[in-house]
Amino acid sequence: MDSSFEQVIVGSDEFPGDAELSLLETLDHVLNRGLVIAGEITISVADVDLIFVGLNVLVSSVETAHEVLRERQQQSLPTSELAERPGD
Amino acid sequence: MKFYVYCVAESRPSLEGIAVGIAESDLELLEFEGLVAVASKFDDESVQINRANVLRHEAIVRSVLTETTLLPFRFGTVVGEANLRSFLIARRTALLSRLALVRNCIEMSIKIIWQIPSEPTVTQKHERDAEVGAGAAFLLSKRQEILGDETLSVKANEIAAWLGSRLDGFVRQAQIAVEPKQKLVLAGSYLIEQSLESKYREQVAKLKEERPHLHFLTSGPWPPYTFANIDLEFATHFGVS
Repeated sequence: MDSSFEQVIVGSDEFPGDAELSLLETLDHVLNRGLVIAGEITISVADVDLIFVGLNVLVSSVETAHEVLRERQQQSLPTSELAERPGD
Repeated sequence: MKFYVYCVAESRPSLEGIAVGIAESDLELLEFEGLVAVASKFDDESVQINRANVLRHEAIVRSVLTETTLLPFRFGTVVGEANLRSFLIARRTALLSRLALVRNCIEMSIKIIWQIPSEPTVTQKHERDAEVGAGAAFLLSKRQEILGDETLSVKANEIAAWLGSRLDGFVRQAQIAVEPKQKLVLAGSYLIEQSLESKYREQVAKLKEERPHLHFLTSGPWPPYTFANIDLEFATHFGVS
């Protein structure tokens, strides 16, 4: 499938990227993984948009983004960066 | 005095090009028996999860990775110097083992989303109930549920096996999570040698062509976040299950 989301690849030359999916992937790695010293994680939530970060959020974001892409395509807005999805 | 810790490295990085750490504190290198922790002083009660802090953590780890082999700490790791020293010295063997594992490697991520086969609609269920009666309908429903779960599981595991076989040869180590009942059916993290990155990308492009009905979310290269933890070694060394 030729989906624009398959191209969400964060490279060192692109970082930090503006793409929301890239941010979610970053959050997934930085918040959910990594070396842990037991009892030494001290975090608090500041931004509402980052309150819950999980894979389900990622999926939801993908679906929401697909809807946006479809709407854009239907409205014939400039879509040079968007790839067509077969079957849509 | 506490420190926010970004990563532990096997040698001292220059820290060139890195402005400051979280809370605008200067970065410091704390060395204990050959292991170098990259850290910055942190006085607040807790680290706020916001875009700026998350990106700064990631940027610092990524920058250090260009100079040396490292294990990233999870975001929000704030620890006193004595505790950090104790952790690094007590776990030195396991940490060195992990560093050896990830040396010259990057982490790549693949997530696969699929369309879960839909369940019967409410109307279909009512029609079935009317045909066979409530008791039989309940049993049929349970049977369908169990068979459906098994089918999903078989299909999901087939995807995982297919992916694993196609990436074999590129991957030094992998961590795969398969969730047959979820739209995000597979989440895979792959530790690959940096020199194989372009070949790995070519292979992933082929995989997308092979299974056009699956959505692929690919990202990377990442520092080895997924492969940093030493729980496994700890369990192995001490017989903990």
